[in-house]
Formats: sequence, C-alpha cells, structure tokens
Amino acid sequence: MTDRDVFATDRGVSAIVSYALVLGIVALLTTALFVGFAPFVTNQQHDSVHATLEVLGNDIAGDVDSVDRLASYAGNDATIDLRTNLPDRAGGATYTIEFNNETDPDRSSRYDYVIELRSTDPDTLARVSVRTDRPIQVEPRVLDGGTIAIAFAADENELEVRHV
Amino acid sequence: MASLTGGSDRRGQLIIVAAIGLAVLLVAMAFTLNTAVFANIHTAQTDTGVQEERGVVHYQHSIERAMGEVLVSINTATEYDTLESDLEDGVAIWHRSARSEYLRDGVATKVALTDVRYETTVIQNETRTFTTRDGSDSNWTVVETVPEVREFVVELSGEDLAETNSCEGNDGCAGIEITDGNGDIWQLAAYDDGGVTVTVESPTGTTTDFTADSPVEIDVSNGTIDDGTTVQEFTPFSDEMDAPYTVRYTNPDNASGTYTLTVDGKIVDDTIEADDRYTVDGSPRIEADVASADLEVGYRSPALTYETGIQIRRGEGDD
Repeated sequence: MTDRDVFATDRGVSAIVSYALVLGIVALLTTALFVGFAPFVTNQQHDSVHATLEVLGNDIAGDVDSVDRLASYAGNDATIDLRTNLPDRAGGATYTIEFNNETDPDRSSRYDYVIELRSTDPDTLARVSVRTDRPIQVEPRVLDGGTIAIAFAADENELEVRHV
Repeated sequence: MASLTGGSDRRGQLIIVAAIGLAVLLVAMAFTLNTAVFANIHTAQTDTGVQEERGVVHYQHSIERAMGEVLVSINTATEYDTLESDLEDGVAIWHRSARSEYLRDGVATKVALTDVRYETTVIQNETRTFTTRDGSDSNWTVVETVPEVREFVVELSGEDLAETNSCEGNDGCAGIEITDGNGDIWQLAAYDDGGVTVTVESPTGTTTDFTADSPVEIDVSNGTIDDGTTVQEFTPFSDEMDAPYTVRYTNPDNASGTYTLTVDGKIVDDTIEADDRYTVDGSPRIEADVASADLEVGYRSPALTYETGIQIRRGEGDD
C-alpha cells in the first residue's frame, strides 16, 4: 500500500478543468460587468452630458445677460464684444447651440429666447431661457461648441452671437 | 505561453492576464463616469461674463466720479482756454494712473476728452447802468445766438429810468430785446411813470404793462416781476420762441441796477480779457464754467472689449 499525499493541491482536478474554471469565471465577471454596468454607465453619461449642456446654456445665458445689461448701461454710443469660452465637447460628445426666439409682444416689451444645446451621442437636449432688452441675431443659425462671441453695436441696437 | 499541462505554479500567468484585463475594464468605466464630474467642474468655472461686466461698471463709475470732481476743481479758471487745458490735464493724469493699475490685472483702459460744453454767466453785481464795461451808451449785444438761456434776472432800480414810454432815440426808455432763431423779437421796456413801469411785448405783438415800486426784480427767464410786495407774471419768452437766442440791451444808460444772465456756450470769440464788453473781475464780468464734458472710454481684457462715450456733468458722481 502506497502512502498518499494528503496535502497535494491538484487532487482530483485536472489542469484543463482548472484553466476552464479560471477562464469561465473571468468571462462571467466581464459579462456581468458589461451587462450590469453598461446601462448604468450609459445613463450616467446621458445625465452628465445633459447636466453639462444645461450648465453651458446657463453660462451662455449669463453672458448674453451681461452684454445686454452693459449695452443698457453704456448708452447709445457703445461697442461691446464678450468672448465666452465653452468646451468643444460636453462629456466627450460634440454639441450644437441654437437660439429660438419665443418673444410674445402681447405679454412683454422685452425679448424672450430659448437657448437649445443639443448633443447627438448621447441624444439629449438642454433648454435655457434668457430675456433681453434687445433682439439677438445668431450667425450662423446653429453654432458648434467652442468659443463664441456676444457682441453689441449701438447703431444696430441688437446683440449678435457668432462662433469665433 | 503557459502550458495547459504545466505545473500549478505556471497557471498564475493566465490569472494575472485576466486580472489586468479586469483592471483595465474597471479603469475605463471609472474614466467614463469621471467625465461627468470633470465636465461640470470645467463649466462651473466659466463665469467670466459677470466678472468682466463688474470690472467695466466699476471702471466707468470711477471715471464718472473722478471726472465730476475734476470739473469742479478746474472751474476756478477765468478764461475758456484755460478751463479746457486744465480739464485735458486732469483727464490725462487720471488716465495714466488708472491705466497702470488696470494693466496689473491684464486690462488695457482708455479715457480721453472728446468735447467740452461751457456755461457762461454774465454778472453785474454792483448797481450801475446796463452799459458795457467802458460805459458806452449805445445799444449792445450781451450774448449772441446762444442755444439756451438758463437764468436771466434783473434787479432794476428806479433812479436812472427815462421818464417817457417811448423807446426811440437816445433819451428813450431802456429795454431788453431778445431775438430768436426765426427772427421773432421779444421786448421788455422800463421807464419812470411815477413808479417803475415795465412793458412786455411778445413776438405776437401782445403788449402788457406792469407797474411796481422800485427796486423791481424782473425774472426774464421765468416771467415774473416782483417789487417785494406783489409778484406779477408774464409769459416767458422761451414759451413763444425757439433757440438760438440773442440778447441785447437798448438805451442801456437809461436804467441802472444789477443782473445775472446764465447761458449755454462760449460767448466771446477770443479771450474774455480781450472783449471790450466785459471784464473778468468788475462789472459786467463773465464767469465761465465747464458744464459738461464728453469722454471716450475703453476697457479691453482677454475676454471683453468695451468702448463707449460718456458725458460728465459738473459735480456728477458725488455721493
């Protein structure tokens, strides 16, 4: 009768089974991570891009407000040009900026605009309102992210938003 | 490459490779999640518009305050040219000082004088006839084609008045004649008719007589005659006439008293000293002031370019 090594680590388990188990566990873990976290990550990215676009929209609205106030403060002889440095991408995605005129002359003598910031990947839209004392002209109508200029020239008495 | 038939000590290589793969996956996910935080922090720092707006307003307000004080301080000069050169010096000194301060923060500033508007007061504060400084008895023009008459008050004594209601000839009644830009004429005549009698004739030809006791205060600009007991009213000339105005005294040696006439603009071609109608220290004298000044203001930072023109009035910005 031979003595058996009661402390051997590979008793009853072949090397092939051992490798198969390791690979299986890794594959299972990876799959679980992808399946479990992919929607979570996608949602997070969508929310973060949306939140970022809202922040950028408020930033643009704030600067439009600043130029509008400065134009009123400066009077009839002013030239104003304010550069707003926005990132080219929001949450890794490109985006566009559009001003929609929603002025209702029956309700207010001021001008109401909605700034729409749109990202296609992920597909999300942020809307920010701004109210001004003078009309806004945007050239071109849809702007890309990046630095934009908000300008005022007294002879035209309107705000101009353009890409720089 | 690990051998599938190898010993248990070599199987660890595959486990390490798998572990590294998982770690890379987790790091990638962390990066993706972190994008949100990074983006929000980045955008939250872009509030330059409000800061720049605040900087411009502060700068322009500083100019308004400082230049308002400068206007007050220079208005002790007696000649128009001195007033303007003093103002130019004041603006230049303030500009140099402010520019060096703002350059430290990376902001280029500019302020320059572009126009000056004067206000002139003709004053006779000692009782004498309404003649020029040399006492000439001929009719004379006090101010010519001025854009605005702000104040014209005459304190008329009854002593030297002609005793006739006719203003013709050198012995006729003394008068004030105001002509406007359309050639319309407003007239006031004063003579002695047992008291001080004042006749006002409007451009339409309407004549009104007033009788009062000496001395009489005639507020030509506001249309009142006050002898201390009674205030009588007439239509001010500015209600019926259009600028510019020319004011003349007729038969000026046939009335005496004091007067103050304040108008907009510069009323002598050369210097006050060189004009034989007025003096700078006797009667009638001219007190010239800078009523307002136009300034060109500029503010340029990396994010904002701002240029405008502002008007400063004397004493403006005093808090």
